[in-house]
Amino acid sequence: MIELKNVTKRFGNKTAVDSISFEVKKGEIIGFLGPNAAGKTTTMRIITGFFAPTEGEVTVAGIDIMKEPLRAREKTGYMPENVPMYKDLTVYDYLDFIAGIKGVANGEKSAGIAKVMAETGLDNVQKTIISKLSKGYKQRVGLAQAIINDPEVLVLDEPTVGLDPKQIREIRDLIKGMRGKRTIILSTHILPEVAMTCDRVIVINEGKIIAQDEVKNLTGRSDPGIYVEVEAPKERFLTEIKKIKGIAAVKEEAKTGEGVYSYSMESEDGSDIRRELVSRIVKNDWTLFEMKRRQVSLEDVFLKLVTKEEL
Amino acid sequence: MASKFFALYKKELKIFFSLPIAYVLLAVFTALSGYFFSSIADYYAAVSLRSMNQYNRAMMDLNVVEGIFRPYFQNIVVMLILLLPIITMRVFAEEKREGTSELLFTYPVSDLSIVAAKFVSTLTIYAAMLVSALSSFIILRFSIPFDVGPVISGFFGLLLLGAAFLMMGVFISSTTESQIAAAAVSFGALLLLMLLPWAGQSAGPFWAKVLGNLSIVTHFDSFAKGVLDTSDITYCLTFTAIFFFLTLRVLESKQWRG
Repeated sequence: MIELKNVTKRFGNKTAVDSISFEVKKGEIIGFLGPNAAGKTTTMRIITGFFAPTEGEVTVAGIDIMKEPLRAREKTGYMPENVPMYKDLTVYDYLDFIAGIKGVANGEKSAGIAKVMAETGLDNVQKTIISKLSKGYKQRVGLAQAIINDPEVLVLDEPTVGLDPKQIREIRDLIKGMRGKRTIILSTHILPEVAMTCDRVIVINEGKIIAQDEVKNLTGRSDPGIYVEVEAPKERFLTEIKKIKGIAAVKEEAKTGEGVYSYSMESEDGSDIRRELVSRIVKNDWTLFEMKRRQVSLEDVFLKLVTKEEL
Repeated sequence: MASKFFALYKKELKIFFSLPIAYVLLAVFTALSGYFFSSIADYYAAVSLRSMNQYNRAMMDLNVVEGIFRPYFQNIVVMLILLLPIITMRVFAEEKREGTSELLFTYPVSDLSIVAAKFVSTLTIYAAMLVSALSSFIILRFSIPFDVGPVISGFFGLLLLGAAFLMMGVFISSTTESQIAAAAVSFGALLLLMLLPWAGQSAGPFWAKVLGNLSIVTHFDSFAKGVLDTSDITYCLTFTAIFFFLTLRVLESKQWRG
């Protein structure tokens, strides 16, 4: 549905996007991840036709955006960061304008506006001037303007930035509700958001794609290890633990109380050593305070990918 | 295409008339143009009365076109130089400052429609101002008979001249994010256009002719006298077309710059 081939964008000598290629299939929701100034917004602006790529080719719904820009734009809905809008208009007038400029036929306009207002929950504010709306509502208007012509592709730049947790959840639910119906690219640096809403992640740093995979593959790559907090004499505990079959490393983390220590440990092949661990603790009459299998968060993966020192 | 142009045009006017500046502008223009008209007409009445008494109709060449219309139209032009940049300053500068240009330029609408809609909307606001100015002539027509031809040519000239001023202002607005800067530069440029003939006079006869012909205000004078000259019409239309084209180029270059 969206395809980028060796897309480069330079501003003077500065290369903002450096020869990136990727493809988004119909109905997919893609998370576009990267630190600030990594090239996320530039890439999105290229897909939406705001910037022309210096080199490379972009097609949206099979249409080359440089050769037939207006046709490609008809297929795309865009919500830029901070959702710029004509704040002196009422919600209805604004959406009426957008429907007009996006070429929604006059006869279908009012029905179309009513539909997106219902979908984004704007019915009760349609006569309100946009500048008087709360941030959450403005975000909904931003989403409404993006989908008013029922585009196949949706590009959302930081759709939840600056919202309170309740509003974030509402916007996320709106996005999730479109799964399968629209092809969506959304950028964010809130990582749990990607894990919750996206099918696939593209990580970009310094204008280059450094990883792209499904969320579960990214987080499931390495064995996360086990964390325990136990009341036991340290030396005896460590000797006992090292007897467990398949254990690879044990590390003392912290002293969390009188005679209580926390440890992290990893097994050799990712096998589950918890059963064995508990039985040894019980056998020695030690007290287990806490034990959990660590989840590799997307955050760990992300930091590992974008932090140069670790590469 | 046409419906997209109309959507943009409607939006421009809706926003403009939601701002207090719209009403301030119209009120100031109506009040000042009315004042100019009545004071010029009063003066003309006094002069013609005196000439009739003293020289016994010796000054037959004194007429309303030379006595009222021409000085009035010239006054209006000076007001336009001050007021039209206020209409045009926001058209693109505000879109850029507010970030709405990012959305505007990603909608399936051509740059041509965008520039045309912006320009025609400013022209509409200006036309509303001219209608208010026309009322003075209607009132005068009740008291003294005069030929409406010169009035029509005068207003036609004002419309053409204003269109040129507005298009230049739209162009200047497209090059900046700051409305104040757009207004100041437009004002300065218009003032310079008006002052060109004066600058020419001190630079010798050749330059006087060149600069005089370049000045848009010189071309307006024949309209003010009630004459419709093709060269003046062509000049105004060319001036407008050049800035229309330049604005299109500015929008086009946006895709390539940061």
